[in-house]
Amino acid sequence: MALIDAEVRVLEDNWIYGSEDIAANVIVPFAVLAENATTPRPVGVRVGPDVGADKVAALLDRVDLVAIEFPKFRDGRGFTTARVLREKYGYKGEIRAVGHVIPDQFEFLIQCGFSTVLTPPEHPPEHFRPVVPAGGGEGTNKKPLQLLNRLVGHRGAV
Amino acid sequence: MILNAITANRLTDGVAVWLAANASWSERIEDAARFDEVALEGALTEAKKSELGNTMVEVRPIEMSETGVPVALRERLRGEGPSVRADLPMEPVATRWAEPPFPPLPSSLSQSPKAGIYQYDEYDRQFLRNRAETFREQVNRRLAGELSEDEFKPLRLMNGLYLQLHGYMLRVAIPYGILSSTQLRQLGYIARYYDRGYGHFTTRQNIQYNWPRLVDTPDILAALAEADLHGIQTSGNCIRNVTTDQFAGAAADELVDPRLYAEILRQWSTDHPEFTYLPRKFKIALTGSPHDRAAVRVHDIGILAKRNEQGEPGFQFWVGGGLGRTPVIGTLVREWVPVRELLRYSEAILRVYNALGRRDNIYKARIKILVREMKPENFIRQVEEEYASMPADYCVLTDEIVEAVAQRFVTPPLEDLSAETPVLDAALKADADFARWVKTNTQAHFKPGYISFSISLKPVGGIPGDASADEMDFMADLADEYSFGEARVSHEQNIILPHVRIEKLYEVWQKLVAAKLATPNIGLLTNIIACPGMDYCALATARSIPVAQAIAHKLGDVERQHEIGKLDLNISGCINACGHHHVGNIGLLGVDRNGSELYQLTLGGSSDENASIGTIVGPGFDPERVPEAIDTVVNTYIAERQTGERFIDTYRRIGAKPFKEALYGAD
Repeated sequence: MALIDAEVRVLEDNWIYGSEDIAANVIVPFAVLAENATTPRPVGVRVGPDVGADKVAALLDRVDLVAIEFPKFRDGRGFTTARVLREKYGYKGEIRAVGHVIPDQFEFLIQCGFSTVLTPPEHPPEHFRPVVPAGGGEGTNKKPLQLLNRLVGHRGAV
Repeated sequence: MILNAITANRLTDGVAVWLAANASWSERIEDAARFDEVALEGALTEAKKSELGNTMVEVRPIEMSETGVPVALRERLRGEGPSVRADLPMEPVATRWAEPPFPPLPSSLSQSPKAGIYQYDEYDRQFLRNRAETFREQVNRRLAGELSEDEFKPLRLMNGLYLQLHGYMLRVAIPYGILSSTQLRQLGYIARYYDRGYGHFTTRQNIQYNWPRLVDTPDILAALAEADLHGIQTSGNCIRNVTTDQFAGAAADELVDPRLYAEILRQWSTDHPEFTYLPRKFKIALTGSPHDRAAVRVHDIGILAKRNEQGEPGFQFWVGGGLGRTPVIGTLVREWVPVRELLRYSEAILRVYNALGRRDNIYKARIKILVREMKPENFIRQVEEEYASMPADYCVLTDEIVEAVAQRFVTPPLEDLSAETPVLDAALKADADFARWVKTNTQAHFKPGYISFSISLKPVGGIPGDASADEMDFMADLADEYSFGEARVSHEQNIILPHVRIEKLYEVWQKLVAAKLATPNIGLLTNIIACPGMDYCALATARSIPVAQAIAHKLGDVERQHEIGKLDLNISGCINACGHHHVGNIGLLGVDRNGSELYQLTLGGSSDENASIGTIVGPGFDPERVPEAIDTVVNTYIAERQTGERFIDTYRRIGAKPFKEALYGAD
């Protein structure tokens, strides 16, 4: 497992996964964090697929990382959770995808506002390709888009 | 004693294979080795190594009878090939596909006009080429073992590639049912060189190829991209091909041309980053006519385009309609959505669905179940909340954007013609066959002197919706000569030429007659909607096509059909209802009863503006008794009908009872 950003750079990862203790540098499950108003910082929140962005929103000002969990790659709830946190709640901090994602979803993850992906064991970083910014105008190196999406320009963070 | 054989599909070309005695795979079911329960376990473990080695997929045991044939009809059909295509032998596989070099693509030679078609620019086209190349890379990673079948499956599905009963099946979108003649020729080219010479037009304005090889699929998608066609999102749990009225932009009764908004929805939903891993598939239909020819009330989202008092276009939204195992007429969720809000409001619906739709049970994962379980008023409230909280500048469909997309549709150069039609009038008087065809197969055009007509792909004894590569070429030539190079595909699985001079109608009809494509049955009993059924489909519980053929043979007399009048008969080969049986005036659902096919009869369904779900009238029928049962239903209607009543009108007036009595006898 490795931590990558949109350019597939492998990043140093000091976060602690899989612990339920309230401590600095731990990504704490949502339910645990919701019951503890004060925590050491930095602290992360692990958001399962059935939590939903509206509940997470209440915790945003006291977390340093939102880790959205994909139990299996076909479960696409995390895409909406990230997007709503960015657009409805204006969250500017790091959103990380953890769990089972596949390289073919990487671009969509980035477009929905994920900052980083914790790669699953069966897909090391070399399976992932950097996300090419989309837009596709003349004289650019951007990835081509069909007309409407060039005009509406709503394809997310990149 | 139960004996088993072991079967699989070859990864590279999808060909069905059976494990033979020497532990090798054979393309002939006759070679299948049989194992008793004790031997099966070891043999299966050994056979599954082919799966791990990426040479086979879906390795599984099948029960065999003592005479050495599979117990299940589906497995027998898999070994023998489709029962309705005796002319297509299952072997030898080695010569099943054409050998390159192939001639140039029709798109590279095209001089055809493309009126009415959305015109791609080089960026649009590059987008499709890139998608084809992405898929090529995914196929290569699959063949190399970097992607498992489990991971590859949704990726191939998102490009329209299924693994079906006999092998792979590729579904290509015909966005909102509109085709240029060049595109139609390109579809014919794919059928001829990458498949087995034909394709099947579906109830969702798609075409399906039944025999493509996995290794050829990237080339097929690349060839399609050159004609602005693709298989993107024709399958998978994403927003599927947006469908609309086959007479859009031509019909005399239209209020708003839905093609523009269908194209906008198509582009918006393509590769949507948030909505590509939904709980289940998602189907949107759109119409701009008060006469609903797009069945919008039985779609996940159904949109009725209309105009307000100021004459501005806008949309009425229906959500949560659908067929399948839980047929539901949609809920009206919003009376009016202005054009600038079309995508925003659609996103709000999809967002609520993606967040809350059930993922624990695929049979309860469609949005119709969410609407029902939440209750419509709560669902609507949640959508409105989501909609209200969107940033104000997010995804707004401004006038400029709409205009930019509208500019890409070239208006057909219709001429101002006289409303007088002496050639037509004379032909109608002189030729009764022609007059009959005109009565059923034409549709009024908004422009005087023009008309739209349907080419029925439902000849008596034919396969509903199938067309050969030669027929596709022929229809493309007709479109060039008579309809500005434009053709349409209807959800009733027929081809339409939308803009034809009325005075040319007799001439073009004579050509159709010569090509055996002039069946005068649109709207009549033998214009049967039928899914591929168990002859092709791995999900089917019974065959659809042979039943449709038997009904057409019994009730196909043209004069009798015209005497019966308007009647929709729809057949599905399983509960998933691809043949729309719930909304047929007469519906047939093929089920499996103890290994035999049985057909449930429903009456009173309708997919139009007065949509209704049919009711099961009683016990099902064996296949050989189905035509007689349909005949009984029709005779009951004729005996009971009052002047001017269609079948559905009579049924709604008198109810199911007289039909039940005629079918099953009085209680």
